[in-house]
Amino acid sequence: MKTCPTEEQLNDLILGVLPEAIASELTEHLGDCSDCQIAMQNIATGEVRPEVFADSITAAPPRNSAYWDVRQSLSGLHPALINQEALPAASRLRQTVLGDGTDAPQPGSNQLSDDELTFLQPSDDPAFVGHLQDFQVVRVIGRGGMGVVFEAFDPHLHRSVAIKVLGKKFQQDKTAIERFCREGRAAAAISHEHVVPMYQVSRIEEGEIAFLVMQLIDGKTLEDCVKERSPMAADEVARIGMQIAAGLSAAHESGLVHRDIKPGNILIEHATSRVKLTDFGLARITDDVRLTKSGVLLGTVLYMSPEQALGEPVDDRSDLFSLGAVLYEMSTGKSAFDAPTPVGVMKRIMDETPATPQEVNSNIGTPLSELIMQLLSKEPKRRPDSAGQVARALASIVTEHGPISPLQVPVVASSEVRKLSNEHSIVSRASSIAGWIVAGLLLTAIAIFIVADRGDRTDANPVDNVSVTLNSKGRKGEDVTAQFPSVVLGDNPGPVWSIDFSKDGQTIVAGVGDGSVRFWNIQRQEVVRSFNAHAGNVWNVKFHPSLDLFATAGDDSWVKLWDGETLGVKHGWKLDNTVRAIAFAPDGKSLAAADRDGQLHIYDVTTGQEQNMIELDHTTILGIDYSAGGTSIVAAGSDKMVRVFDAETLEERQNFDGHEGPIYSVAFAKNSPLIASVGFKSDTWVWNADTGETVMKLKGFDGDNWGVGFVGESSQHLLTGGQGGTTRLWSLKTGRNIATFKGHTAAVHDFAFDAKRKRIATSSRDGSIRVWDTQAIEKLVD
Amino acid sequence: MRDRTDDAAWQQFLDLYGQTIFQFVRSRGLQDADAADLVQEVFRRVGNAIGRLEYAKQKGGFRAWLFTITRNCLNTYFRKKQRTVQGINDSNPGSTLGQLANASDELDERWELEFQRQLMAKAVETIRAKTEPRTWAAFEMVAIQNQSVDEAVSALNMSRGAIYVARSRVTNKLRQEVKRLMDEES
Repeated sequence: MKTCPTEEQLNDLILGVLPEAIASELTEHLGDCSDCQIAMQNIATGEVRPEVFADSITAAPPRNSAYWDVRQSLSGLHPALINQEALPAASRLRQTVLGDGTDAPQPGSNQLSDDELTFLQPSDDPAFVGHLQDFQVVRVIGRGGMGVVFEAFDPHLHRSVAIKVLGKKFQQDKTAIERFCREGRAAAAISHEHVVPMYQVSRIEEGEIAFLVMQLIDGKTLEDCVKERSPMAADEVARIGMQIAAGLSAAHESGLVHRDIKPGNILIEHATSRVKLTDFGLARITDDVRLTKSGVLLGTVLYMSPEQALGEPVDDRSDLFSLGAVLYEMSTGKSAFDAPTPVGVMKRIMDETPATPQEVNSNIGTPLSELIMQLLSKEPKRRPDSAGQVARALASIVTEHGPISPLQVPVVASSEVRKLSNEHSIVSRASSIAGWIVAGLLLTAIAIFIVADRGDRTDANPVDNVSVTLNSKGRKGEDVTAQFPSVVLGDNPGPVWSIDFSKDGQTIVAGVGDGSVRFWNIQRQEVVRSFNAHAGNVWNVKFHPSLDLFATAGDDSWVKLWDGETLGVKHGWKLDNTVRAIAFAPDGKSLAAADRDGQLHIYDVTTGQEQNMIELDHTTILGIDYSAGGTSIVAAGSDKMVRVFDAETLEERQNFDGHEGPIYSVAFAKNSPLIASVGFKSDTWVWNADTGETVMKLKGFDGDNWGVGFVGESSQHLLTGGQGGTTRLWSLKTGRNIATFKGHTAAVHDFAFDAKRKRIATSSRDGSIRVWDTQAIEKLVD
Repeated sequence: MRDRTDDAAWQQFLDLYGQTIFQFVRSRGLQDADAADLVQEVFRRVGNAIGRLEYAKQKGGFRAWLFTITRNCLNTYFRKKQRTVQGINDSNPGSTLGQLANASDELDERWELEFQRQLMAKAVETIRAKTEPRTWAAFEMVAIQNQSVDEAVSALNMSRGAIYVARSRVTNKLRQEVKRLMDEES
């Protein structure tokens, strides 16, 4: 053949698809034509670099290379392929995980397999699937690679709990068990409103099952929330983020890194919308295990930090990155680093910077957007210094969206707060309130709040006023910030109608709608005693002013005087109708009680004998109180009248008329003849029992008020508890609402005041008690 | 049964990526022992970051991720090395070793080339078995052992043209096989 073949012919020759005759003709041509030799080889080589063919011979390291020792040791790691086909879809990556990779409940998933049942003992009660030690197991909440999570009932403390049992395959693994328990104990050391409380860590004994007992949270995961509504509103992102950061701050303070912050580990409590972090440090348990034993699980990598993706050691700041990734997703509706495969995600985490949240969603403000991007810095040192700092920055962002409740501002660890006064915020958003901030953004958030809901009698500039008050204490106010407000004693089994502080201020006694009386240890936030006191609502509970006694009153018409130590009933009195109001005389010798039939009784505390009684016609008595000296009793109720009686003779001395409807609560001042009353409609009336004058009428704005109380020894301040759950502090000098406590989600019914610690406790129909530290407004309430 | 399959996959995985990393870092000037240590460190980090062999099944982006980890380890290695060198000779702050590790584009290309070379080695095994021995021998002599066509002609008793055709045919098959392996890995 003289003329050269076409490329196509050469290609066909390579592929061997030419007829024999043509092929041999071409082959012969190729023997002599160097152009065709080159052309054909170029076709065959394609995009591969030619040297690669020759070099492939040296692809393996030399026989005597140290590589082979390493190779040998690596092959000794027996791998276990995850039995999850292809995992590629991002949705699969985002699998709901209760902590360590426990899948969220799925339809039908509460059927236990035999395998899972092995450690459960059969239960006598068919309502339960079995029991684990003393816990009655109700159902499976979730399961995953690390184990199973059950809902269970603790028969001793009468509460539902969540139990996490380490999976069967790990139960033989000593390292895993030890780590599981160690992490559990570390998590148990964190006591914070935004961390799911760990109740119990099972002891490690031979043959014993390892499990963790924690609070059962009635709510859903942030993951569920994101699925439902995405992107979220900016203020919601900031509010939730603030609480996550606060919970993290507490963990970091105890030296614990979470390692697996992701929407599936962030619970939103149903009743309060409060954030609860779960599964601190549990991610580590599987770390080691997956390198040595089979049964590896893969959680999501979407929220991993770059240092985690690189397999490097991690610290607190790794959690901050993960928080950033979570916030990013909340505010944009998209994962910051989504990719078709886990390693694709990890690669993006390490190398790529996503579009800012604001670019994706223009509703996200610059401060929030910038903060999120700062959290997502590849280098840990470029991220914010601490979770506490992030919480404060987010608090300042939250306030931009309107006044917030102090309770929504989480308590950041005290050392964080101490840093506040010297530190600049990473995102300075204080412009609108600049000039008076003394201690930084968290205080700002609270202070805004304090002034934001002022009453309409205000004419002076309230910002200046509060500012002066806070400054006038002559210190920076950081401790104030740290302690105001804080403790929530929640999950009472019904409305909390009444509360009182014990004399040492460490315990609160609560009268609850289910007939129980509960003693809460405030510091530990634990119910230390609980017992059934009445059939139906417990309407009132009061500690005796000096003896270790307390009195209760209930729907069942009983008034009971209890021994504080033995809980034995010292005296009991049956009235004719429901008893809502009781009060001890200041000297502790008498107890007054009033019922729905309008009867007012005075009993001798020592002997139990009735000393006196009167019956008011056509009225229900809803509130009574003794005067400071014990010489007068005030009573009020459905007839809209406030009446003052001689405490001994029960002769009526004064009556006050003004309320437009029933009066729900009435109180005497501690050191003056003033009486305050609240009820139907929002107005609060203040009367003078000596002169019979109407002192003032405070115009409220929350609908009906259910509770009223004087605060402090000087009784210059008044608290009112509103229909919507708002508690207001009023100055009687100015008639102004000077602080507002928000957090309860239903009407506030009662108050208690701990003068020594400057704490106010409020109780609400929402089933919770809140203890507010008011040292921030110490001057005001003295 | 499954375990054995998984184990085989794991071993293949180790071979492919272990050698890629090893040869890559050797090309950056690391001594044999240092390169072996670095391979171990990379796999340790991989294990820290994700559990085990999920990555063998989830290949997308894996190579790039592994490259980042390798590059990271390499940088660490050079930093340490530089400190040691500086300790001895403070007058040489900008060591060429460190610069080598930072030329990103070139590194990237080198990494891909090394990976391709490893795949080619695998492809050679596969294709050799599927190829008529004399055709393979022709390819091997000319394309790999760099012998002349004339040497092949006399050794294999084939025409010149047949040697060239054999070379191109095997080359083409190898290319296809490398492409297939590459697709499998990503």
